[in-house]
Amino acid sequence: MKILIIEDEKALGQSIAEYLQAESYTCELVADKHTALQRIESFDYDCILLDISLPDGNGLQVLKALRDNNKTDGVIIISARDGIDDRITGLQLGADDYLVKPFHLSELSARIAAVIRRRRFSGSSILEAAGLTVDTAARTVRVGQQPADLTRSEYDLLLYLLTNRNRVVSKHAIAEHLSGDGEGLFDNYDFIYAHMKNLKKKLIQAGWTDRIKAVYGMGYKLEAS
Amino acid sequence: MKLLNKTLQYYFWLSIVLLMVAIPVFYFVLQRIVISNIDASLVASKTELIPRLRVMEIHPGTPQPRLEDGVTLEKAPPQPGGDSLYTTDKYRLLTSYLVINQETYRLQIKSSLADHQRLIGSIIILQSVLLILLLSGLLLINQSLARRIWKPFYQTLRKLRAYKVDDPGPLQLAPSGITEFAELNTAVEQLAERSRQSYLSQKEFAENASHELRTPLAVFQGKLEMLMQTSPLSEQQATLITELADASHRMARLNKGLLLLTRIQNGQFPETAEVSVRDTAKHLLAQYEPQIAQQQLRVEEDWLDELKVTMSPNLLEVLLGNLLSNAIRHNVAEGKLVVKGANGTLTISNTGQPYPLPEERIFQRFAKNSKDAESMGLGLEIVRKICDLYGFEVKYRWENTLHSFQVIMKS
Repeated sequence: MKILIIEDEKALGQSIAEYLQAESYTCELVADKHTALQRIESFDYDCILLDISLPDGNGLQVLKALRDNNKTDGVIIISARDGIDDRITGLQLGADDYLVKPFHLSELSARIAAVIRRRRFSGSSILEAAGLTVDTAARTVRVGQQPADLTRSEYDLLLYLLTNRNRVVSKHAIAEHLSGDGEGLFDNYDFIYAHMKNLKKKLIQAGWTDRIKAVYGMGYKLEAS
Repeated sequence: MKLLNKTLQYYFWLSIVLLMVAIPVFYFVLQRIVISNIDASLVASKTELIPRLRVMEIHPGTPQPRLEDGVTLEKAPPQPGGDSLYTTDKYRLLTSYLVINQETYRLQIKSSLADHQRLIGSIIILQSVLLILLLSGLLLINQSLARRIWKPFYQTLRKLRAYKVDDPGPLQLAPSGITEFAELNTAVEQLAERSRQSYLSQKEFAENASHELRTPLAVFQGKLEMLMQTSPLSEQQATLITELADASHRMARLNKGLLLLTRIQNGQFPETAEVSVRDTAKHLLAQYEPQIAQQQLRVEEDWLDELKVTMSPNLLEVLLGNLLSNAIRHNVAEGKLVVKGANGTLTISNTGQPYPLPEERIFQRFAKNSKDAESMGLGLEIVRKICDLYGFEVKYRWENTLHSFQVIMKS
């Protein structure tokens, strides 16, 4: 799967590319509007990560060019601006998502996965990994043929870990992902342990071999292989 | 004391002193003039009488000529000296000794003072009335004139009092024809404009700084996550990374809070809708359920009033979110959280530290009140700014071991 990263901050672009490559995405990194316009003209991408403030112009022009050419590449805007106006403009121009800096790479990865799932026409909403089958349309999880009855938070947590499989996901990232808008209001991560415990219990009851590892209080890692 | 009254006070005392001094002085001067007048007319009468009396000398035996009222002629022992003038009870008396046919006569001419006294009295009264009228008229004119002249000053004062440095436009004062006031207005306008400019640039700086910080923060956070993926990873390294991640998380949150504050101050939440405080609070409480369960808090809700307000739904969520999460975060295990809505007032109370918070400091930026080193110190400032924006009043109370925050939304 091909991803174009349009980000003028090299260090950030590289981190994103490196993180995503572990997920068998092919990443291309460009740092200015001009090159970005050339790339989108010649190639199709599954998802484009677009920084709005580029050295040679506004990233939204890239988005506009893309939509003017009737291209259906998924676009996630990554921006330092989080005003409601900025969001609305971006989404009205046809962006699929809007992520404000600073963000967790695991969150970005989850959003990319969601955008790609949504844009895929072939109705393959089934994600199979680590011995689990997740139907992202119906929001159900099976271990082999055995369904596991998860709550909304548990399902979100599992999907988050699955999309970021084989990588350590920090507890901050999980907390923010699970609390949505209320992110960052609490410094207490104990509630993650509770969710994690219940999730593991339910999956193990359905016959799963536990592959979620706590990594020294830093975060969690789901080992798929 | 008002400047007007101060000057008027001096005028008033001056008038009183003037009246007190002027009226007696006037009285005495008038009396002297009248008496010297009477004296002159007495002497004149005498001079007129003397030729008639001389007749008695030329024709001895002639009876005394008839004399007018108030003139007496009596024989008297010889007296040295000339005429004398003095005042008796009601008269002015001229006594003169004449020698007629070797006999000494005392001639007395008297003139009644009563009429003159009455005249003086009337003149004095008239004069006093006139003076009093004149003075009070002057005072009145002075006062109304001063009031009109000082009007621009009071207008300036009123505008200055209402002026806030975060008002959208510059301070504009009414022009004044009086040089001093015009100069004052110019100076005040310049001062206000300078403060406004420095406020604006400071605000802009805060906003730009917060925005500029975001990219390096994103780089930092990204690299940390990449660091987490490295292997082998020792526990020591993992602990270091976790601490860095905590710090980075706090930086990101502070940054977000600062930007939110600037945005509220900039009035960048213009969209309003009628929203229910009750529904929003219920929604947030459901969202915070994991944290509430974690601390085993007992939540009590009491809604006598749904509290419908017209404001930005986003800001209402921020307002309630900050108050509720504070009430959860600073609570004790198995504590209590009370949410009450009644009479246009929302009250959020919680158990917590067993002593009241310093009321004057808690709404200030970065005022930390707990051992919780991670409290970001911006939450209540944001609450207050939102309340300011919509004219709500927010109050803190410590009652029956409960910390209460009251937001008076409608009165």
